Amino acid sequence: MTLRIVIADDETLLREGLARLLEDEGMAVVGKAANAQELLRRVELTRPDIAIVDIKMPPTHTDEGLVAAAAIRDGHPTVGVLVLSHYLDARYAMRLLGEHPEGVGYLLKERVSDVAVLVDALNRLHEGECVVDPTIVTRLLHRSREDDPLEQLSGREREVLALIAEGRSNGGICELLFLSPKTVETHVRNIFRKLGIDAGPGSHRRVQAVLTFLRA
Amino acid sequence: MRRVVLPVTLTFVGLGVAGVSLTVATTHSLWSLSGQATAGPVALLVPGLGAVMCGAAGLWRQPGTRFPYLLWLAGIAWLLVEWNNPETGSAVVFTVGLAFSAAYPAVVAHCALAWPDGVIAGRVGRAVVAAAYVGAVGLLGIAPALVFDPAAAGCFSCPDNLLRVGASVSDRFLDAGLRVAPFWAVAVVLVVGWRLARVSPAARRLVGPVAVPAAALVLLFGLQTARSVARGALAADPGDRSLWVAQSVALALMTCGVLLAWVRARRSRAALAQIVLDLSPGQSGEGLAGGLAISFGDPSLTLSYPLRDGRLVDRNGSELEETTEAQTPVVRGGETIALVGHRAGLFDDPTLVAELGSAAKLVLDNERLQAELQARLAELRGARARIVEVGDAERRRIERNLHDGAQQQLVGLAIRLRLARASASPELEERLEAAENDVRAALAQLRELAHGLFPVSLAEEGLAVALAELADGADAPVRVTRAPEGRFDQAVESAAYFLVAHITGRARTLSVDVHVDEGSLVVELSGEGLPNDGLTEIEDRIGAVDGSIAVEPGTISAVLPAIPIPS
Repeated sequence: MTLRIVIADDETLLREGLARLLEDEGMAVVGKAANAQELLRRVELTRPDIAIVDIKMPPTHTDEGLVAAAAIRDGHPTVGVLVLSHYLDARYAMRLLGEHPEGVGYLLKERVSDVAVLVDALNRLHEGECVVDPTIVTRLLHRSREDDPLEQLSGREREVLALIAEGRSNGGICELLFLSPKTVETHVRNIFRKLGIDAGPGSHRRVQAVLTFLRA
Repeated sequence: MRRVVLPVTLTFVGLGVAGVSLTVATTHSLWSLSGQATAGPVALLVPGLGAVMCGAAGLWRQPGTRFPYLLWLAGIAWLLVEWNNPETGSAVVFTVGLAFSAAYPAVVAHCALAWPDGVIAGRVGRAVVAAAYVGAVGLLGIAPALVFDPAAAGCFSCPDNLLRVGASVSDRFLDAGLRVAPFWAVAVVLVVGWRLARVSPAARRLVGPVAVPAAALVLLFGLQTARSVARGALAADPGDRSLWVAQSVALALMTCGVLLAWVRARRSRAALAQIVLDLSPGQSGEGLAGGLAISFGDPSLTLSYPLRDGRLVDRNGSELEETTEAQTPVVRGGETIALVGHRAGLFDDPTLVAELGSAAKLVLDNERLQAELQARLAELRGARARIVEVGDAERRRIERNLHDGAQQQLVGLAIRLRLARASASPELEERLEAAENDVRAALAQLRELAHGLFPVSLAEEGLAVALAELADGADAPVRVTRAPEGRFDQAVESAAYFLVAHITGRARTLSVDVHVDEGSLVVELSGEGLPNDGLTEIEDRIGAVDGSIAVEPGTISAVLPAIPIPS
């Protein structure tokens, strides 16, 4: 299945470059926009699977992208949104993910050249999961605080949870951690159980786990 | 020394003149005004010597003032009235008498309009006094004397006229002098009356007791000249003597008026001295103005101090707006050292403010210097706050430029490298991949740099989010136990944030507690390995927002003004 993508970025170089990268990966770029208004129009017209949105767009270059992303999520729940940002701040990401982070992703802008991560993320989003940039995940993983709900997880389980948050599939996790699919599944089950997440389909449970991870 | 010598000299001169006058008047009473009048010597000596001695005393009391000279001169002029007696036997006395025996009404008119500061205010007043001098000294004195030949006039007992230079036409000058005298006398009275009508009640109480008797004297002299026109000379018939005695009373009253004003000033000065005693510097919460407000019964009384740059400040150095209320300057050495704001009319008596200036000198100077110091401190604080503010604005600008410029271009470069890899030979692809990794590392470093400059979360989300963010990214364990969710003044947020950020970078463990307590934002840091030096930049930031910081082993706490910003 070919993913249909709309790209919004006011930098022509990035917009066009990203479009070519994605097309090389076999995706269909069905619309490009240089600002939030244009983006919303493109989404309305083409109903893409995913919209890739730069946070900073004209006119004020602050959070026009975030506002547009929220509008897309409200108006078109089937369209996944991947927000690109320069900022490492997890709270920025949290604000975007909100209470219902299904199909929402937050990547650092430089990640666009890391095609493997990007493509993986887009696929996870399309399946309704949420994705957080690996750098942010790493940062959160290493923070030290008391009353940590992740305390009960083993080291390995934490690693797996972090990779889930980065938008990796079980298969991807197997490869990265050199584990058998069965072991990964056991870890994932243990994570859900320890964090008290047991209801709903697989993708929903993964999102919940990521949220717990982010908010810990 | 000089303070004593001058008044004593003036007194002795006056006594000398009085002695000559009394001798002339009593030994040659036929020609004298006082000689034949009832209680004549008293009428001559009491006002004359009274004015002389008051003038001398005034100079001793306040050296450098001008009015006492005038008063002394009025006394001398009054005493000279007898010196033109044809039987003086002394050419010098006779000549001086010829020239100045009618000078006293002009000097008294001068006194009437120059009281209390010795200077005549207004062009009209000066013109009228000049006219009086020309009329009394010129037309009735020197001009006739220049051409008066006593022998030719039939006075064989007269001494020589030392001034005489020409033929005897003195009658014309005298005649003219006598005819114009009533006019300038009335003019003086009118100007005095106009001045009294214009000033406030308080000023009238000060000016009236001196100016009214003085004007009365001038008017009486005007009458005397009017009835002398037909005779062609000032003489000493019973009518003249009565008018003269009345003038003597007026002059005595004028001197009394001056004395009264001085006594009043002394009393108010004593009252002021008491205020000053009650107001040891720095003791009263209300300051000098508060004490003065009570003493003068004017709760609206304020004191303000002009700075060199023209601004007006209160005693705490806060700048004051221009006011429409009545303000009286306290002047010393030609410089306005303070402005007293008060209800209209309170300080219309100018001596009161002058007294205030000298009696409250120490307290006033203390408050003025304090005000200047405070104003300068406020300026410095403002400058420091501006420097920090400008610095923060610049940090934010650079932060944005890094993101929007350099970072954006590096991302573009990374994409180009990635696109190039697609069509590159395996060997080249490897090198391109290495380059791409370098670009990514550069991006990460750039991001850290920009974040350290001014974290976007602090600007966009506020202190609580920024501190949580800081704790997330810290190498050492950092725990934020409390942080207020609300937004505060940006300089305050920055000061609190950069304090925590600075300590975070150096402590081994850190616990951060930020809370609002009675209008203050309190930042309390505790932990291991807290630094206790190298906090200058942080102290500047905290000082710039009027905060304070305390560094103790194991804890650092800062108190900042919690200026809330409505979200």
